[in-house]
Amino acid sequence: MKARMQNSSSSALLKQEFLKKWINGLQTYTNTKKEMTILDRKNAIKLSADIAIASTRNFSTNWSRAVMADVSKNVDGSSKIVTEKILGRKETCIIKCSKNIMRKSRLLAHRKRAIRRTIGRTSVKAASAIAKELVKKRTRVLKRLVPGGKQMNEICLIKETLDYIASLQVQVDVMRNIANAADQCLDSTERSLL
Amino acid sequence: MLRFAQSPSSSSSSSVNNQMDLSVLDRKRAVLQRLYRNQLENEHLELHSLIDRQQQLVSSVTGVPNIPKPDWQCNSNLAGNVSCSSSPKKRKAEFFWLKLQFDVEEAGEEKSEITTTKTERENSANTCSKVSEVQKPDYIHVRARRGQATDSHSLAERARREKISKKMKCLQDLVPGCNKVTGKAGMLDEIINYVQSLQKQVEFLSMKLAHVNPRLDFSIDNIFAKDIPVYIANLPQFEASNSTCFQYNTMQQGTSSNCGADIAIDQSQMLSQKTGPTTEAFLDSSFISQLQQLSGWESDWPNLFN
Repeated sequence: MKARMQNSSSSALLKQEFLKKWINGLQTYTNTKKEMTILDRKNAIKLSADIAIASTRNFSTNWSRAVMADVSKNVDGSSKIVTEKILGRKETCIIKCSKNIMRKSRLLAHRKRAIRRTIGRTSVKAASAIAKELVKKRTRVLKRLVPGGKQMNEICLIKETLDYIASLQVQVDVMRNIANAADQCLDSTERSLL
Repeated sequence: MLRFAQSPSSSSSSSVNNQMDLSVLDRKRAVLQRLYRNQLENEHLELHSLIDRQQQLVSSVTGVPNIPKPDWQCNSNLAGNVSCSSSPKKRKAEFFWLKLQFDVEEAGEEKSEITTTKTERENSANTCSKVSEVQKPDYIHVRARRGQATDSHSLAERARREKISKKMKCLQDLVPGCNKVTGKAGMLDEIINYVQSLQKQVEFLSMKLAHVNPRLDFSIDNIFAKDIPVYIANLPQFEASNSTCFQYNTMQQGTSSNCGADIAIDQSQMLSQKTGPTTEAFLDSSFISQLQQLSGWESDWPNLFN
């Protein structure tokens, strides 16, 4: 029980931090005068949410660095502004360094994979082999899902998924609460009009 | 009894000293490789000697059924430079001796030679691998658990597997519905489904928020209508924000806005009456005021009224 209480308090702090950063990021869009389509708005919301939740980890985890590297890859003016707003000038330099690191690790992983493929493949159809195949398939799928998962070994992958799932839960929680509240507000204003 | 008592301690120590194990294991691996090479050479010598002995025995067995045992014992002593516990070796030697007798009686002499040499080689390898770890003085002594190999490779693998299973247990707590499934594949499946569902939820919620908020303004006051004292304290701001919200609404619906103070007050009353489903622990009044300071909404108000 105590652990759960501690967990809830720490997650509350995390949620506050995420919400602050997210709204901070969204402010960059309020100053633009142009009309945004609903898709643009959705992308903006999602982008700032992703950057916010990744930055709550302070780049200690692999997946957060991968998220930032992906974001900075899309040389979009707005995304750069958003990252700067949320993180500050210093940490955008960190993102550039992390991009290089990711690129190098990707090359290494390619070479390793090539070597592994040249070492022969046996096709023994024992029950244990089938089970292993299943596990391998699913780890491959998981690697695709978790950002930056392609260059990780199994142990790191499981650690990263742990962290990623926790952060996703925080993100979904906060977004759902805000969406519900906004919905309520909308309903009440609509009712008042009628 | 002794072995069983030591096994839990070995498991705990292995889990605690996982980091140490790996560097230790590297050293052990190099050492054991050297050892294996030495042993192979020794084994060759052994085998040669054994084959010689066997040939002698075979030649002499046809006449004499029972050959005195001491011959085998000196053989085992020859091989004893590797193994410290000669008792398993003796037992093996006895077994070979019996087998040889039996085979010779069946008069399949050459076959027996080959089989005995093969089995001898396998068994000696086994005994060497099992025994050598305890034998050599300056290497790390690892007490293997009952019925498990003491190979350095298998030790490293076992350490790795324990790490993975520990992490999977943590994941079991985090992912709902993972308790019923056992085994890696099933749990991985659940984890994949959960991550996919979370990502889809994020997409859906961002779409919903984009739909609700046409101008991407999240003004905190009108969204969180639970903290009444906050609203009473910030009433002018609240009125302004309500009217802006009202404006956005009208922009959505395309009607002209008639925002007056009385409408704003009505709205505030309605909002305060409407009670939300859950109390959000992370949204207390202090936090909201913090957010207001952070976002500087006050500066935006004049722009919104254009």
